[in-house]
Amino acid sequence: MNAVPELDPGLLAMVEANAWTFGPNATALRVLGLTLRERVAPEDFWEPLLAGCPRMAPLGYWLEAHRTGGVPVEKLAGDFLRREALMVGYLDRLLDKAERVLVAGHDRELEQLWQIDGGWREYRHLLLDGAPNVPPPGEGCDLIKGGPRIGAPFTFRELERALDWAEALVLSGFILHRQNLLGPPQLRPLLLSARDQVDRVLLTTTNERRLTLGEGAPREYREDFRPYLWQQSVTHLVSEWHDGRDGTQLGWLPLPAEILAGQLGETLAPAAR
Amino acid sequence: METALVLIVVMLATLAIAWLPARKEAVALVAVAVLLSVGHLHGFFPADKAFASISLPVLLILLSIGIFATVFAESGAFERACRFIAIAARGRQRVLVPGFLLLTYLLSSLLPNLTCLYVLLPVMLGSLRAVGMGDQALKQTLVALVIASNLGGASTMIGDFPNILISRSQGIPFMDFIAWMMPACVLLLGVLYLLIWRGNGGRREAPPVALGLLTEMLRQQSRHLRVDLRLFLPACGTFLLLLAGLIFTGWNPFPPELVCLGAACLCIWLLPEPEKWATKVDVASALFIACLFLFAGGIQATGVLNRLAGFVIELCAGDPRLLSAALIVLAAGLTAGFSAGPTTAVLIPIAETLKDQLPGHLEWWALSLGVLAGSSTTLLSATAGPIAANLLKRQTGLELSYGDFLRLGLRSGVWFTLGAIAYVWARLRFG
Repeated sequence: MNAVPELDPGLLAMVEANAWTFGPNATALRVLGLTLRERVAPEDFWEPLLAGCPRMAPLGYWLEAHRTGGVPVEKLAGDFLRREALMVGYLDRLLDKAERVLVAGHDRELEQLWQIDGGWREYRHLLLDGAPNVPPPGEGCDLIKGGPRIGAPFTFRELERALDWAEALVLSGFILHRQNLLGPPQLRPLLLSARDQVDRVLLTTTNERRLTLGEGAPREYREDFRPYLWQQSVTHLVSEWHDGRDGTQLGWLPLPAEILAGQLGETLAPAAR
Repeated sequence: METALVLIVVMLATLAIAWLPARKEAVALVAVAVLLSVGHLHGFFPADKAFASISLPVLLILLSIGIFATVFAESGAFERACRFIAIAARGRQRVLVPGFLLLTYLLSSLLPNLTCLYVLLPVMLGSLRAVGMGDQALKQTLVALVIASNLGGASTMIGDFPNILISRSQGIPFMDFIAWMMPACVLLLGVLYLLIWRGNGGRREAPPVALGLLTEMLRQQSRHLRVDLRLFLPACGTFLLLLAGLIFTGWNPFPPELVCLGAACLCIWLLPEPEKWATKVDVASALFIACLFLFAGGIQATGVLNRLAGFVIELCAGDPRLLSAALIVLAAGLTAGFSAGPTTAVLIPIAETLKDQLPGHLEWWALSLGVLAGSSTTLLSATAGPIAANLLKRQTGLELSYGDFLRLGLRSGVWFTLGAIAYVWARLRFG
């Protein structure tokens, strides 16, 4: 294994900005690939990255998998991509009847969703506001700019109009991460209004996280994955929000039997088994 | 009395513009109001004569080129080019720095350098910072990028205000600028690179993992932040049309300002939402340039410039080499103190007086090279300096002081002045 030198703060800032703009999973996968190519030890490389780039939470999750789960680094990317593909397929089924889907946040799994979609469904982004002097996450990114099935994005000011338009709302898991600071000011009105106006609110999450709202730290390595259905929890979630940040633990969607039975493969689902 | 008054107003205004670049239009307007009032009351610069000194062709060229710069910048093409260089260099500073200098030079030679710097610097600074470039080296590289943009601007007829002014006041064609100015500027770009390389004492490259991480992050950006072809293609097509129109000026019936205006209008018409782009015309810059014309007109009306020109000719005894060197040194010195725009506007009448003493358009090349040398010397001698300093502060928190700029700027100014004199003398000798 090659030694890892100290990383420059400017470089860490760029990695963190990429995680903000393109999503943590997409960015972490690139780091994972580089780790393999450069033959460096993940402990040496990822720990300083995690310390300097808090949004790179997937690396923390994978590091746990490597350390405590004994998963070789070479298998992590394959596992992730397989879980992602399964989740996206499942998400597609859950969105089956929706023709107009509003998307908040962005990451790799949404890009995969556009690719498997049959073409009749239309997506539009809700551009969340960033911190002062920070552009909204994903602004300018091709995923959001528009395309054959991706309509012009709504800004957060157009929230009501966006929800009137939408039949379903998909939240990318990364927007809940504590580093993204998209807590009460934006999530509260978003969820409160979504409860009444759209048929389904789904949260995509490819990694197991402690999903108390506002927290997003990787906690333990579990080989399962599921989209969350928030429809039942929205009221509770919003009303219980307070400074202590112990909001609501949201419920898993039950995994379909055929996925449990066949598709997870050998490296997946100790928890599911 | 009149001369002293006009000179004091113009000097105070140019100093204030240099110190407060963000308010340059307001300062220039106040100074012009004073100048016009004094000139009209004393009768040496009546209003009708004053307004006749504003060159509409120059304003039209500036506005037209400005539209192209805005469209290219918003299309994402500049950032794309910048990332392409950084990825191709794989983050190595010894490739990255000259690559960025060359890109800045090339883009600034065709489009206004301020727009180029606004768009390029954030990506360039981010990349240089990410590969571990230290504070001092980063500041010096930033200064070098500003100077490279000045060099680019000086290379062509449409790159910067001084050359547009010279070209339109004398009717010098586009290709003459390329033939005369571009070789000099390319040579000076090489001098600049040597200066910055020696100044930073070579470079310590970042370790391979860090370079690999930078390249990965830039690749990710390149994948998702694509060039908006709906903007880029019409702008590119019409800009090529503009260049063709300028290159073949003698073969078409239209003067350069009409070629530029026509191409800009066609570009706007071809863009999505043309009405939005039509409102993005840089009126503030046009207003500022108009004020510079009035400054120059006011000074010329006092007759002081003719006296200064007569003095220079007498001092140099009509020797073309001494005259050209004197003009270069005078332009460099004045520009270093009062910035490029006002100096060029003021020195044009002097250069015109030297027309009969120098062969070809030598007086204009000497003036342009002198202004280039002066504008590269201090933080305030070109508008690009303060703007680059602001971008550096915003992105990295580093302050670029007057002294920081001067460290490389003074050496560049001196070498550029000497290089310009040597170049002009060589062209005088060998054609």
